[in-house]
Amino acid sequence: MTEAYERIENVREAPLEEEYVCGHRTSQGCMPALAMRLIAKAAGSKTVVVGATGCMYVANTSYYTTPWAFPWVHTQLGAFGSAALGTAAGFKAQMRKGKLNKEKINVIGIAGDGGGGDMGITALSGALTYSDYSFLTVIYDNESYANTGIQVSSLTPWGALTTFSPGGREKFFHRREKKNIMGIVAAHHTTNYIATASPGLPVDLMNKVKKALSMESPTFLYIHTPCPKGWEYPPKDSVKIAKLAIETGFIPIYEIEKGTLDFTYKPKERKPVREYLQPQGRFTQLTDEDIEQVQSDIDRRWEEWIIPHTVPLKK
Amino acid sequence: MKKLMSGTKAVAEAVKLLDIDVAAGYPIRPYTAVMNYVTEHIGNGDLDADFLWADCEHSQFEICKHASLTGARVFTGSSGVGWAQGFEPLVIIPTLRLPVVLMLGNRAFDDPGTFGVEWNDAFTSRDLGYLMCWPESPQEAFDFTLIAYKISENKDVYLPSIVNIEGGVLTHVERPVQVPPKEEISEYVPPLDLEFKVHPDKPSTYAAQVDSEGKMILCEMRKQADQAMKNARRSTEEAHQEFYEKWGRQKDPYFDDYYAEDAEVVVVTMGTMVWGMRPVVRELREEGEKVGYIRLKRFRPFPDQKLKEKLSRYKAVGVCDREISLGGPKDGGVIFQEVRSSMYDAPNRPPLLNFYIGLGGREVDPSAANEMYKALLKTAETGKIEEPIQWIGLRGGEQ
Repeated sequence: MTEAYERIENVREAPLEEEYVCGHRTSQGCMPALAMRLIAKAAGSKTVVVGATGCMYVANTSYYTTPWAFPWVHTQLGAFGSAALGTAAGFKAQMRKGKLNKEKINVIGIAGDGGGGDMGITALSGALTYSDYSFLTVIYDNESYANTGIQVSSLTPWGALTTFSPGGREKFFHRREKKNIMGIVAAHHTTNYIATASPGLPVDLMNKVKKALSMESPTFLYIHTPCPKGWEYPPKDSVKIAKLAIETGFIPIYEIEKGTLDFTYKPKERKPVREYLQPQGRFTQLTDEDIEQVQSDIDRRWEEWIIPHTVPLKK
Repeated sequence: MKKLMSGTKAVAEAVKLLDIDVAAGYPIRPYTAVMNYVTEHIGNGDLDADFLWADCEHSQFEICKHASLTGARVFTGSSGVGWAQGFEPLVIIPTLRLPVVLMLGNRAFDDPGTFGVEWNDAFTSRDLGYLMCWPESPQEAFDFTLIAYKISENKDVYLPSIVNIEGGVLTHVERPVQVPPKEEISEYVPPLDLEFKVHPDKPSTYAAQVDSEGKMILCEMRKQADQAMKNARRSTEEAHQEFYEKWGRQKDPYFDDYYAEDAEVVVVTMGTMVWGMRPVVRELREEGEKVGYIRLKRFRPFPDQKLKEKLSRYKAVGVCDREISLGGPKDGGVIFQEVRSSMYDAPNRPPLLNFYIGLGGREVDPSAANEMYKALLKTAETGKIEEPIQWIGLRGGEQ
């Protein structure tokens, strides 16, 4: 079952009302903060967010200056799935039993790549199996534990320098390929809708939030959110970097609705990944050979995998 | 009418009659049985609640924590290492001041694996802001569950409760339980109307970060929790009084005295350990020895003032610990430290012995109980403490 939702055709049509207002104290050019604003705008005021520990808690949601106009509840680092499920269950049971007015309340659980993709993956998986509850789970991916000072997460890309992979004479940079979180989530056939998005494509992102919240099932949104501080590029370039990630095919933009895959934005021709890597300080130590390896990984994910970037079986 | 029930069945019966809205379970012995019964009630249509099959205890407690924040009445629980697995949200439930009630089927921590009872799983949480009771019978398990919701949901308190049901003992042993009608229970514990529940109509940010200077309100919040726990003492006494007036049970909120009034030596203990002690007390009484016991029904808030008044007049007092606290003062156990500290400003301080007894679920049989009373009588006679900390029922002599 899906409720109708009103699509936003272009950015001028986006709601004027803000649910994420001033008060956050994140860095200039912080793309997770922009993603939060777009999520809140699309979701509207009848919403409750449970937010896991991470940048969007520590640097974003402060006493006296909270930016959230609708209710926002802190939850523990690995708990965005279970907390969203518990919130949805609390509302559902009380509405059924006449203890609360029956109405649609959007429940959204939000975590970063560390809280969501490492520690919270059990809770996320468990929550996504509850097809009789409706809530949206979101991972915003700034590719590190950025709030604690840029440490490696399993979604940190191969080759990145972080404070846990500082390089040095032994070239101790991050040597694991970025975890295929979408593949893991896509295996949960109990969800009606999962998608990837980027604040580099704001209208697409808002529509995906609206669509996800119109579904009667748990849903999932992955948002790629560049971090000028952690990735070492000038804050003014945040949107440019977000778009380069898409144009180089480093991040695919798609949705899977009830088993049907649709690339909502596909670059006509993938730009060389070098254009995405070079402006970022965290990749400066990569040799030409290293960059070639990154390029071949991306090409492999697009061309060899049965579902690009998601199902690592050969076509 | 009385029904035959185990401790877990009695807790589940209370939870059913309290019309809880949400429960979450993850299996671990020996608490699991309570969730078997809760789901049976749901399956039979006797309880309208959302039951969530959690993927681990961490998720289990997070689910309940956040369901509770929406204003739902929730129930959950665990045992031993399961409790430890879910410890992070367990720490948060009292700091958010949520009236969650949990059943902890007390179980020794691994390794090596055992299903036997120890109290250490509960004591990990003793300083966090949980109210803790330790029933001794299925009837008390039932009664204390009702009382737990009553106190926790009192807006002067708003702190969670742990109902400790000793694993492998009270979790499974059956006794007759008097069950009052649902209407009377709803009068005693009226529907929950949580003052600060999450809802879009009343937007608020919950647990915003308070780290930077000028926003450091944690000190004040801790002080509020401290006041809430102080209020809980009064609320506990009121809740027991009301319970007693309604159903004629549970008059004393803190103590169960057994031949303690005219005794010369007493053992202070909790939970089911008294099952093996009662016949020994009676036997020794027949032999003319003035022995008894004082069973603590509650551990948090700790009834230190009342206990001090009670214990001052004895010639010797023994304190049972069904867990070990390593490296503490005198190498004594947790209850020992609490009792010893309670007696500091007593006008008369009797000699205190500490008994490590029944660890890992070892049965507290008459011979173990005898060993304790013999040691106490000897101390009372000589007035000297030869061995302050004693292991009772230990096999194989010196370790």
